[in-house]
Amino acid sequence: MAGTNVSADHLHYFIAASYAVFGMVLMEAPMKGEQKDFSATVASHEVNSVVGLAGPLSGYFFLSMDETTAKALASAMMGGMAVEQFDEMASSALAELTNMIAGNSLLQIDREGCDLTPPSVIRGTGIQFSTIDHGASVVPLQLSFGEIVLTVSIHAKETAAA
Amino acid sequence: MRARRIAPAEGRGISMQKKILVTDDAVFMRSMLKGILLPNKFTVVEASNGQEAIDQYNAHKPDLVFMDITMPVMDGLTAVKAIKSQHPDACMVMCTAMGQQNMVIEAIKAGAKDFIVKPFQAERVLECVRKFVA
Repeated sequence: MAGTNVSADHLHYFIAASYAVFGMVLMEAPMKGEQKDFSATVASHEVNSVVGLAGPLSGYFFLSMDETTAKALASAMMGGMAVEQFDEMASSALAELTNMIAGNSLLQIDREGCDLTPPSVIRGTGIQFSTIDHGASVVPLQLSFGEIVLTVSIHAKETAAA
Repeated sequence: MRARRIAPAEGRGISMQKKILVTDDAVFMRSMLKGILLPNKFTVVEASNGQEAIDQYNAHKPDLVFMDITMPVMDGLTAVKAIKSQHPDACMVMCTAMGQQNMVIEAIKAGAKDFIVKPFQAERVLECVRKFVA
């Protein structure tokens, strides 16, 4: 089915949701950096937490960061508990944070029938994500413990003409 | 960095030694709920999917169940229906991410008493407990 890349148009929903969730979970407001749009491929960071979208809007939402930031983020989510290794608990915390932001974004987008896939955490260096023909919009958010990059790659199915 | 500390709720009329079943596939979410409930003197039993929740319910007969919706093996809605069919008095509260309103409505129709939205606020969790576990 023909469709449209709506990543740039929808990025602000994810930014707003990130502010809301970071405020509730971390009690911190991030500082937004410059938005960049990519045509097909996005370079990853060391730790990438991914949620898929399905339905009238399909694609991906990523939170990406270096491992030091990921451990600090997990520690903050666990009430300040020390996180020496990026283990199952830290991975689960980051995945849930991504899930909360994606869920909050969908609520604001308010498009019936949109679904989220369970979050996944991908770790490694030098990975590139190909978004095929969806394109992607990226914005860095600066928090006290490091930079988190939001990537949105969303395609909207065209609705039948009236 | 400002860390969140969850203090025991004192003098709020919560009964001691009640048993609460926490069901979520995310170990972090279970840990977070335990972090709220254990300091308030509740016994916590865990399950990581709907089928485990049914098994744990049958084994422990908890006073309250916190039930996630989207889980592998068996989702929370199916588990609520199964537990309700065997234990009509079961008291269950759905744990939902924003954007899952339709599933929450289905779960309430199936017999869930209430819902809490992730990210959890400790006060909201304890309010639910106070409401249903007196």
